[in-house]
Amino acid sequence: MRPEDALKHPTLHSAISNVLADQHHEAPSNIETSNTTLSVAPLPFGPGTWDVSVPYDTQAAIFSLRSNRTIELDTGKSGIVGVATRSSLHAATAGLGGHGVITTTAYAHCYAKAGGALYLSAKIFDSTGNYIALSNAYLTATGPSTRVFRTDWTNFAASYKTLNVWAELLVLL
Amino acid sequence: MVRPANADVVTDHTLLVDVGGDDHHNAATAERVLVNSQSIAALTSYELRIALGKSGHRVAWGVLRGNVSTDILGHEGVFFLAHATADESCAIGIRSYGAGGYPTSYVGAYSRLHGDSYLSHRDTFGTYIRFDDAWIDGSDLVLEFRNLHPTLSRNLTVYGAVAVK
Repeated sequence: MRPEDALKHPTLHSAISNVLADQHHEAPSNIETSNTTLSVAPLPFGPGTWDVSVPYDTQAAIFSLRSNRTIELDTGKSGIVGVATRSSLHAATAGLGGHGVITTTAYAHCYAKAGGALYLSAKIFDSTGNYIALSNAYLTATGPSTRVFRTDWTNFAASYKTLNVWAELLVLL
Repeated sequence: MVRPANADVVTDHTLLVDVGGDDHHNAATAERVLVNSQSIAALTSYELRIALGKSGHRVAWGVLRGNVSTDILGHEGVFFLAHATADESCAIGIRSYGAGGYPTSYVGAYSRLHGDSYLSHRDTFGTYIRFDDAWIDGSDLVLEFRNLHPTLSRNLTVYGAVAVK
């Protein structure tokens, strides 16, 4: 396509008719995935890294991570909501966890890498201690046309732990 | 607006050259929030404005965190969802204190749309400073805080990240 033709690209979609293929708009905005097999090494060897592929043009991602109950006691569940950017220094999360009755043994916290928090969220994915914590979450290019939502996890236990987490991403292009 | 003759074949933006403005995509931006010791006088509001670079954004998500020095071991902050009108903003406030961050934590959810007076009624971001509202105003994201102390000036310190679409 010639540049002069590109400049004719319409800027108001409500005025467009009979345009069936506009592929750049069809990039996924929501991604659902999970990881139940990532083995995270204990300190000082970590962190464990889990990547989720996102469109290359992604500017930011709103993420929701939730542990599944196989590593949680009782019926409680824990999770994180947060914002990931293309900078590993600008992520922020809010974490909420509970095991048993949430009103008696809940915990909650907010973290921001910009403020120097060492870990984005601790004590989220294990109800018995701070074994696996989300250390960072950011978007990074892995090639000329590929990008991932990268999560780094730190295991505070003395042995390997398996990461059990569900993720939903709202991808912002 | 007349439909361009080639509209049905323009499908790949990577082919575009020298096109600076393509606002119909309303591309997202991600911004850092970092405020250190912004003094707020007693019983007054303070609007922290985050420049987004352009107008037209419709929604913003963000996590804001207070600084530890005004907290008691735990960490407090909010996750918010802001619209282009302040009446439709909402927030989840999170706070914890006590050894290890629990068991004395609490969570609150607020919605301007449903008549809550404030997005966060707890003293987040430091003693007596409350997160009141968030909305998009033109090319700015506005984060509103209030010093609830009746007589003293307080320092607001907040960190976080926001994403805007």
